[in-house]
Amino acid sequence: MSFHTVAIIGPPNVGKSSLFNRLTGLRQKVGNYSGVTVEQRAGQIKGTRTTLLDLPGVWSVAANTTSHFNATDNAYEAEGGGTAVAVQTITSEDQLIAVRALRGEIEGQPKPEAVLLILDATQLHRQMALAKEVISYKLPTLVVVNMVDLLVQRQGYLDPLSLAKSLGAPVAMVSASNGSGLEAIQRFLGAKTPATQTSVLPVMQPHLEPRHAGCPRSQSEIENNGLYRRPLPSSWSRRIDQIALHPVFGPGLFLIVTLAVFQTVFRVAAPASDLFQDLLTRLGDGLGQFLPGGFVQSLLIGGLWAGVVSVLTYLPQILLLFLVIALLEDSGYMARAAVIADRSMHRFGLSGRSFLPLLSAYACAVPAIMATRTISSRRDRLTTILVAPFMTCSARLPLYTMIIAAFIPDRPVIGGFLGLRACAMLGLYAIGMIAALVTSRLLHFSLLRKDDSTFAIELPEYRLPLWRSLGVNLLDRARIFLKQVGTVILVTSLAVWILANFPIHHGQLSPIGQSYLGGISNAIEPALKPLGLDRNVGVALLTAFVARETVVSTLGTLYQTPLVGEALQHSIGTAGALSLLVFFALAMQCTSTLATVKRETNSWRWPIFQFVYMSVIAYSAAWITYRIALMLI
Amino acid sequence: MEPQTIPLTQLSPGAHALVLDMQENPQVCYLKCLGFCPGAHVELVRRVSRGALSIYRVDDADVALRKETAALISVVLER
Repeated sequence: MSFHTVAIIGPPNVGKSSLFNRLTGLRQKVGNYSGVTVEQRAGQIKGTRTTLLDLPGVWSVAANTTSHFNATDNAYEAEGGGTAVAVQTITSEDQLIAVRALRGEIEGQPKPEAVLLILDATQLHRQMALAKEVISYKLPTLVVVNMVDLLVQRQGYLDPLSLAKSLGAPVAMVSASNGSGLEAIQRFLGAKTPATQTSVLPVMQPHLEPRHAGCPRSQSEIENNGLYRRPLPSSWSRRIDQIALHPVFGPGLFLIVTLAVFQTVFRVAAPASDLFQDLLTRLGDGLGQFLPGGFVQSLLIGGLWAGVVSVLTYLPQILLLFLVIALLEDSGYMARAAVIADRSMHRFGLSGRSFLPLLSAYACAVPAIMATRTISSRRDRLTTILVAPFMTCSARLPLYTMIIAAFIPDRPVIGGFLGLRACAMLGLYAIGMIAALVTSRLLHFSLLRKDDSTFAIELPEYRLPLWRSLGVNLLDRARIFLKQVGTVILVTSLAVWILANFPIHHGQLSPIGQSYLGGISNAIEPALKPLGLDRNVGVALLTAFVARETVVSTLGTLYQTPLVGEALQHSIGTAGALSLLVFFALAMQCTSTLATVKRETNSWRWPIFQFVYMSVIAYSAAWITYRIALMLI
Repeated sequence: MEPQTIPLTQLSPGAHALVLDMQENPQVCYLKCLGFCPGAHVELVRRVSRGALSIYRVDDADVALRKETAALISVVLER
């Protein structure tokens, strides 16, 4: 009989996820731990009924704190308030989860019957403290020493039998990248042997003094005893860093990588999404011809299918962005990019790791918010999530382009170097970026106050990414998006379709102007007047909640003309158009983004806050713009 | 002569030192996990972003620290 539940644990970047993927294949469930934003992955081990729990990467599982999660405010706190050194570290949330998981204290998750402790063969001298702490939990433990191929390549040495004897736990030497040594893990998982630790072994107790918790200096006896020789440092990693972190070439390389990411997202992912959307829309139109007209066709194609299309359209962008991010992360460059970007980001209360997610938000906030998972600090991650929707996403561009073409004269400025229209477009990008940076500063000094401004990041050695691991990672992202975000988008799309087409009069759907949505627009019209906007713009802004890019086509339907710019010139004038642009640049008008924020923060509190905050900012800025424009024009 | 105790930030590129102590800070535990323990050998590899961050080699691993973070660590210069 095999174990029912086995936990996989180890420090960050030791190939834990690769091993988890190898052992479980694609039979994984991805969710969040209750009350926190840390990802919870569980999977069934191939050929067994054993559930494998992938615990967060930790440096210590010392149980020297009595902290507990406060699920209501999505935070954690320490009882007694004084001895929370361990819980307040960068890895504290992860550490707390790992400790509670090993003790079987996480609701809905069984206590593991055994542990796979994954260590990096090239860093073993720094990981023995963790090994001893994990073994002290007295669960049957297999110490899996990964990356033995690299250890041998770089002239390191490990005596596994002596290590097993020293730790009091069996040791398996594996390489998750080529799959060698995995049979030892299979044997351990199938054996259900009793705990291998014995009382005579020097097992460290969990009640460590905080000052010594996780300190590897006291653990160098594996080297002193001659059972381990650390490998030679990777000379080419250090040679690459001479360029990657060079005062001139470093920022230059960073700029090239940034431009490559930007180009991938804009030149490849965005057109791929557009093409995919076009194909799906045509497919819907084709299918619609086989359906009876009227209500059924409108519901299935205009409501349900349109919702499916709006969900699937994001997929190419999400997959490509995550491929790029995973490549940067797995190769080791992401840590260097975070170091280069940190100085600029720090000025605005963010860390270097926020840079790439914010950059990708220029294409779409949905994948950008999902990409914040690479940020280890909870506060920095939340700040990035909250400010990302201010960045000018590509769905805002159709309205920008239309209004600029209709209202801004095409004349050269700055000595003919730039046109006035290009300046207007750049201005809109700048408004979004300034709002994001100012908000970040405000959050830094208020809701997400961070008293210390410390930043420490280990620079892992450069490695070639594992294609299999990249593939599983992408599948994970796609599944999370479709299952947990897609359903919300679909339901919202249907709700908006009902509001835009009901009530039914004499068996016919209502025109949008006479629908419930039209009614809501009538109700909010007094609030739109101070911004110089009319009821039709109100209807279009409401439909934009499902897809921002539909604003122009909705306005075309409402004004009954394809020349929307001209219609707006007559209805709201230049001052109203400028106010609309500013409102559109700053408002949170995207249910997909709100659904993603809910999923990533595991709470409705943050998306509601974000919606209210951005709406207030957008309304105030649009009103000010309208008043100034009225005075000047 | 008594060895001079200085903050880690005052180390020159290429200079070696021994970690002496660390000011109490929420990050202390994490810094120790990264190898900054009393007695550890540390070398300043290079400064980045005009000194806003520095790369230190500790326990054969390279770690980037913000200036404010490095200031928490006291070291003794090695000869």
